[in-house]
Amino acid sequence: MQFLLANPAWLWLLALGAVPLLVHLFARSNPPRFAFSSTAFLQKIMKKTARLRKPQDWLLLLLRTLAVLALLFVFLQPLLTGANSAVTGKKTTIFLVDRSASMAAKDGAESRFAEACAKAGELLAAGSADAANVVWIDAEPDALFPQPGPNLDYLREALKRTGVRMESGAISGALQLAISQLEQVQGERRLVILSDFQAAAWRDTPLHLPTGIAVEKVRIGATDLSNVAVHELFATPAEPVVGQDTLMVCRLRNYSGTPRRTTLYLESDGGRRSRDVEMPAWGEAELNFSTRFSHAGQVAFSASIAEDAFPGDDRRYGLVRVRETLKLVSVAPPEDSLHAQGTQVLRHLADSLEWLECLDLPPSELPAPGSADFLFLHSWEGTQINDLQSISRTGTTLIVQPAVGCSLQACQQLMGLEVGENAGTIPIDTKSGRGSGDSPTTPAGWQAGIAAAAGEDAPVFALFKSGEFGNPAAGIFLQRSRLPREWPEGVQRLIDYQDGVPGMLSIHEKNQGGSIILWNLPVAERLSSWSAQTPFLPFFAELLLHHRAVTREESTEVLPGNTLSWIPGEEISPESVVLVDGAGQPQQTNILMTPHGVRIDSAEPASTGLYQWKIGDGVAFQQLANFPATESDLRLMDPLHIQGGEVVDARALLRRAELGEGIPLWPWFIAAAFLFLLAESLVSLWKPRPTTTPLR
Amino acid sequence: MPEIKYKFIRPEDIRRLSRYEFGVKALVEGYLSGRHRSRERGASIEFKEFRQYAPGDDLALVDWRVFARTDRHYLKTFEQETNMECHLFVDCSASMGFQEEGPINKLEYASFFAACLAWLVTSKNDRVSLQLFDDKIRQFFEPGSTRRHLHQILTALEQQKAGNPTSLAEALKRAHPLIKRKGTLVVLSDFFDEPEAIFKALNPYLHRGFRVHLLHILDPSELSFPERGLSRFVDMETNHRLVVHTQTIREAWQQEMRRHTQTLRRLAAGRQVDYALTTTTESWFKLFDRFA
Repeated sequence: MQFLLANPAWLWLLALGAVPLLVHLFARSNPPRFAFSSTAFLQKIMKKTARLRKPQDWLLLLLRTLAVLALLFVFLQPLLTGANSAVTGKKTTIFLVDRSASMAAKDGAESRFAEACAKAGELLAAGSADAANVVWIDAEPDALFPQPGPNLDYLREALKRTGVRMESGAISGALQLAISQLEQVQGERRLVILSDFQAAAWRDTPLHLPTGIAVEKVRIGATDLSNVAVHELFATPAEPVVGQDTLMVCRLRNYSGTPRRTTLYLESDGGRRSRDVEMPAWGEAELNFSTRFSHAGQVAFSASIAEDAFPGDDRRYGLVRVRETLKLVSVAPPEDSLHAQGTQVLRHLADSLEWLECLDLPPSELPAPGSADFLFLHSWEGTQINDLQSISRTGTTLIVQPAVGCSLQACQQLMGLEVGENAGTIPIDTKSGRGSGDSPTTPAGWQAGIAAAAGEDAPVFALFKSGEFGNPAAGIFLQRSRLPREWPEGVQRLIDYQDGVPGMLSIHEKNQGGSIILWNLPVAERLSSWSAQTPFLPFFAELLLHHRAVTREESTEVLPGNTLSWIPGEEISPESVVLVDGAGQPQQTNILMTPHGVRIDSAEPASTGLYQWKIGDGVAFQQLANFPATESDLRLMDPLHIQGGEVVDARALLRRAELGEGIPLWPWFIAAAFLFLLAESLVSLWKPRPTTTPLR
Repeated sequence: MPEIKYKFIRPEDIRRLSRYEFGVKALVEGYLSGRHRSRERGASIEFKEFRQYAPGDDLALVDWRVFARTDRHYLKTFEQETNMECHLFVDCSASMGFQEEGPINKLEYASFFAACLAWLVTSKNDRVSLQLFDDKIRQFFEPGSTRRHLHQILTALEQQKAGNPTSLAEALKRAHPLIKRKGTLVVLSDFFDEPEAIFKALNPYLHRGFRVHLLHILDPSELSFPERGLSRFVDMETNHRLVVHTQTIREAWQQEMRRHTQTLRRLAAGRQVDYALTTTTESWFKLFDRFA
């Protein structure tokens, strides 16, 4: 702390402090004259008593001088200020206020965010800064002013008006924004961080600050709060077809130290279901609801639990795009290929399945990535591997039938496997199909069945478990590729020939892409009787359904705080599109031109809920924003553990603000002057006890 | 005796003094010898005056030459040199002019007493001298016992005004060679002087056999030091000024005065000097009573 004088121009007044001394020394009162017989005795007495009076005189002089000096100091307006108050130049403070979803938690009557804003308002009102600004920590950090300014009243008003957002906080971005603003100014620079310091968000966030910026961390919220949240909600498959069994998966999390019990409600397709669930402390629970959608299109569903102290994460939304059909693209083999009939087989197959649509492509032509659910390559020669992988990554399941001359290396590369030794051309085995020797009427060929490694419990063979449909690979096969019997882990063997040669292998593409099936069972009638078998159709259908890409409808989900966007397509007029929120309230939008076409953006960032892009009364597209899961864990961390800056109590911060402004001391000096004068009166009343002169 | 009109001796005082005929026995040495005139002639006898013959007087004392001239019998009286002389020292310094609570100032009080004593002594045909002093001897009247001498003394007392600083010791020292015969020494003063110096000055008198009486005269306020707040005290002798708050030193003053008087008393007792303290509110006749 420092002692400053706000009015040093009056410093010369302190010279008047010598007045009591001068009065004491020179001033003589003018008492009445009295002629007396002898003053010699009086002088003698005065000398004797002076030894007793002098200390009293000194004390009186001291008290009077102190009283005068105290009064003089009042004119000098003394101030008690903080240590750095003497720093000249402007004082700039940026308040970094956490506006993320966890700040909506309430420790008492008000939310943490309200408390943070109140404290920031108090600090602004304390007048410790010449210029200030507020930077919000949310999904898209922004500041109230483009640079710190002197309009502190506006900042205070904005702090009162602003509400918390159900968004996660981009702490680093907000810090960077604040620092960049502070680096533009001179003088004393201060950064005050007001946050609950949620452990999940701040744990790995060190404060890398340039020198010259003082950082103070003010923790908002004292205790960890218990919370139960709907953590995840999705449908699998993410794009079921009409009538397909779809599983709604809902995961709950208990962010408390005690086991919790709650009821989960699932709403979808006009219906509502509920189920009780118990969760251990700091545990998780998963609930699955099975359903079938009766019509195609985007279907919204939601899961919710009973409202608790932190209701923002008690509901979650999901969107599922129900497909009318799945698209199968069949790339024809060369005309002279023995597998040429394969395209017809698939076409007939698709005709038999309502939900399957088949498109034939000429040989070597591939569909656009993401335009098909399945791509069947009859007689694949091992080319266009990169293109095929790209297509697979977009969620298309590849079914590849190696052609004559196709190399094992190509297959391994396509499947993302390590190319082993002897990865040359895959030999082709062929049989005549006529019986021999002892069984002249038994057609010669290979038979295949469910691979032992797959087992009958594999989901794709669930339909065949009862035996009703027989062997899914029933039939005689006259040609096959002699694939190696050994395959690395991760490759699933579905069908094997009776001699162990793999008939069908599959591998799931990483990053939620489609599966890759190595098809070694010819479907052409000239090469096998399989397609004529009864189990062929159900097996093929099951195969397709169980090998769709495990993708989620993420393109329709945005993070709270981000902008909702939709590219409607050329046939739709953007002006006719209206964005409405879950309550049906229209939202403002902006129309932008992009290289991909006209894009409509929401003017405001999205908050949690379901949004619909409507054209007239019809819903053209839906999007949703869910509560950021990271904000559900309301455990806080001690800001001391965050490297950088100083942890300050809010009251201490206010005190420093006052010190920065300077605490006026004049009332204290006036009180001191009164005390000195009172003491002076008491001392002057005190009469020293005269000493008794001993008799001679 | 013809009618007396003096300031410091009134008819009532004379009447009262007549009762002190015996009272001054201790005061005036050789009273009895004063009553009884010495018949011895000699160089030591001094003609005093003619007195008409009264039956019973010694015929040897009749002056026949006067009878021859006047045909009346007159006695010739002579002053007899005895050991009976009363020497009065009256302090006329400025401090003796102080008066506050008393009806008269200290000089007047001393003058009253000195006048009465002088009358008493001379009425008994004893001799009395008078010294008026302050820091020096103002006036000195040699010992005498005539009425004319008394008149001079009384007149001188009336004419005195207090003034100048005190120096009793100096006055005693200077007066010593002037007093040829031992007798009684009566000092009337307020004794605002160093006791040791006073008694040092008295030593020659004591060595010569004088009987010394010190009459300490003070105004009552000089003993009590009444409350008068903050005052500027001006010394009547030196004009020295001192601002004093009486409340703060009153007790000390009283104590100092007690100490001073006790010192005088002690020193007096050690030298067989008579010491008496009186104030101007008390009757000076009390002093005569003291020695009754």
